[in-house]
Amino acid sequence: MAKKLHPISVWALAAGGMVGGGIYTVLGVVIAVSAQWAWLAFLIIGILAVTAAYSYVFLSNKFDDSGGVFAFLKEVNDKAMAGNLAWLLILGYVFTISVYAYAFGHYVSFAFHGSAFVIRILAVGIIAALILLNLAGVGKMTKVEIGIVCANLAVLLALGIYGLTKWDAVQLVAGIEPRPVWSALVGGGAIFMGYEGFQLLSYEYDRIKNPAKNFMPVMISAVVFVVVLYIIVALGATFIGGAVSLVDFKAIALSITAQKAFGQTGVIIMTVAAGFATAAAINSTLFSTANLTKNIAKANELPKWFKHTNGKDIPDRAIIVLGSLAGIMAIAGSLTALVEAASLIFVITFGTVNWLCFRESEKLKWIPAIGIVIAVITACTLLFRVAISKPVAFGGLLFIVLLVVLGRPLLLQHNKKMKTGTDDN
Amino acid sequence: MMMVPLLSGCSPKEAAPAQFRVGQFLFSTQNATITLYDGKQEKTSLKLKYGKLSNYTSLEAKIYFIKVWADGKLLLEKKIGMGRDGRYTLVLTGIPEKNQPVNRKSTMQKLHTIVEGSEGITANDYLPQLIVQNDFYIAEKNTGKIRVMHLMPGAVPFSLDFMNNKGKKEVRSTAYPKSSETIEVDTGTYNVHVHFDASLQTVALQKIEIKESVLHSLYVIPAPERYLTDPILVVGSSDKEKSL
Repeated sequence: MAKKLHPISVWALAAGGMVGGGIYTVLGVVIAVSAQWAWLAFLIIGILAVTAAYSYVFLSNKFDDSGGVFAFLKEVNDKAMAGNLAWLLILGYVFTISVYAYAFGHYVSFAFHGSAFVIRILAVGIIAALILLNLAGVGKMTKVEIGIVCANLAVLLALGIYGLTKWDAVQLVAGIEPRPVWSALVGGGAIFMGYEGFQLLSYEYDRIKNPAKNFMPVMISAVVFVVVLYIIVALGATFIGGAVSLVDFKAIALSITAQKAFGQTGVIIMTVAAGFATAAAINSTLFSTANLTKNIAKANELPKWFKHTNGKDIPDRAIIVLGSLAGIMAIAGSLTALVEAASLIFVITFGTVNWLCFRESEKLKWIPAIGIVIAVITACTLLFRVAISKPVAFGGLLFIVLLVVLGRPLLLQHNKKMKTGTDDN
Repeated sequence: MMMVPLLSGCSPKEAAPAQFRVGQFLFSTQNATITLYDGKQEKTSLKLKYGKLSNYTSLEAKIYFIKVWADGKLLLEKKIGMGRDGRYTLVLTGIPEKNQPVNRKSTMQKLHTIVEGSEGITANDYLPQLIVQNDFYIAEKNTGKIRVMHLMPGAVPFSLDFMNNKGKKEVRSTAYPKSSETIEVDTGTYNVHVHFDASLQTVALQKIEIKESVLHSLYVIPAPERYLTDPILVVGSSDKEKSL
C-alpha cells in the first residue's frame, strides 16, 4: 500500500498545483484588462478559490470519497450533471495542460533565443516526454514534485518581494491607460485557471494522512498563501517590468521581469523555475486527468475504451489521447484564448462545488454562498468578454457545451445498446 | 528570502526617466499638437506635420494627461502612465470628422475597451485615436528587429518584402490599426516592397538599413491627398533621437 501523504506534502502539492504554470502565463493577460487593479483581480477570484477549497474539503470529508466533483454529484444522485461536468472538466484539464506546455515552450525558448518553430517543438516535446514517462509508470513522483514546488515558490516569492522594495505606482500603468476598479472583475474571470490546481488533491483524498483532521486547515492555508503570493508577484513584477511590457510579452512575462531586475542571471533562474514548474504541472495534471477519465469510463459516463490500462496499470489510452489533444492546442491556440476557455470551465466547476456544499452543509453556509455569488458574476463577465473579444471562440465554446449536454446522452445510449446487444448474444 | 539581497547585486542599472515620441498620422490634417499635462500643469508640447515621427523626448516617469489638437481643434484626451526606463511611441491615427466631439468612439471600441483594456484596439470606425506603442525590445547581436504598423484606415492588410542580394524576407501586417509581431532580420540594406494582400503589385518602395541590436518601426500610412491607392512608409529607429 502506498505511503500516506503528510500534511506538509499535501500543502506543497496544493500550492504547487496552483502556482506551477498559472502565474507564469496569466499575469500579462490580467494586467491588460485591469492595469493597476490586477492585484484586486487576484484577490477577488482568490476568494472564490478559498470558498471552493473549503467546499471541496467539506464534501470530500462528508462523502469520504476521492473522486472530486464527479464523485460528489454522483453521491447526491445527479448522474446527468456529474457526467456533463466530468466531460467539461476533462476538457478544462486539457486546456490547462496546453497552457502549461505553451508556457514551457516560451520560457525555455526565450533563454536560448529560440524561434517560433523551437517554441512549438519544445511545447510538443515536453508533452510527448511526459506521456512516455507516465506510460512507463513513473508519472507520479511526489517527492520530486514537492522539491520543485518549494524551489518554485521561493523564486516567485523572492522576485515579488524584491519588486515590492521598488514600489512605484506609475509602473502599474506604465504605457497603458489607468483602468476603473470594476475592471478587476473582468480581469479576474479571464485568468481563473491560475487557481485551479489545488483541486487535483481531491483525487488523492484516500492517500492523505488523517484527512478529516488535516485536509481542511492544510488546503485553506495553501490557497490563502497562493492568493497572497499572486498579489505580491502581481505588484512586485509590475513594479519591475512595467505594465505594458508584461502585456506585450505576456507569454514570458516573468522572464522579462527577471531580466529587467537581475539581467541574464535573472533570466536563467526564472527559466529553470518556470521550466520545472510547468513540466511538473503538466505531469501531475496529465496523471490525475487520465485516472479521472478512467474512473468516469468505469462509471459508464465515457466510452469503455478509456478504461484500458497497460501492464503497469496506467490508463494508457487516456494519457495518449489527452496529452495529444493538449499538444495540438498548445501549438495551434492563442495564450489568451486557452487561458479563458480553461478559466470558464473551472469557474463553472468551482461554482458547482460551492453550490453542492451549500446544499449539503448545515453550518457555515455563508462560505459557499459567497463562492456561488462570485462564481456567477465571474462566469457572466467572462462569457461577455469572450463573446465580444473572440466571437468565433465563443461560438466554439457554445458548440462544445451543446455537444456535451446533447451528445453525451446519445453516446451513452448507443454504448448501452451495444452492451445489451452483446449480452443478448 | 536570502535570494533577494543576493540577486540585488545582479541588478543591471539605475532607473532612468521615461522617453516618448509622437507619430502624426491623422489623415487629412495639416498639423497636430500633442500636449502632456501633469495634473493641470503643462509639461511638454509638440507640433507635428502629417506623416512626421518626432524625436524621443525625455520626461519624468509619471501619469500624464494627454490632449491632442488637429488643425486647432481638440480631438483626443487620454491618461497614460510613462514608467521609469520606459520608451513609448504615441501614434495618432484615424480620420477626423467635421465637428467631431472629443474622444468619439464607436460602440465596438467601447465594448472592446471594457473587456480587453489596453489590448482592446479596434478600427474605431476609422475615427481618430491615440495608440501607445511600447518601444521596449530584446536586443540581439548580429540582427536588427522590425515591426510593421498598419495605419491605412479602410485598407486591407498588406505584406512587406525585405529584399537584398541575399534573399527575401516577408513581413505580413495585421489589420488596421495594429502592429505586427516584432521579428528579427539580418543586418544590411534592404529594398522594402509594400504590396496589398492577394496582389503582387508594389504600391510603395523604400530603401532601409537594418542595424544591429536596433528596433526599426515601420508605419504604413496613406499618402496625403491620395488615400488608399498610394501608401507611404515612415520609419523610426530606436537608436536615433530623430526619425529616419
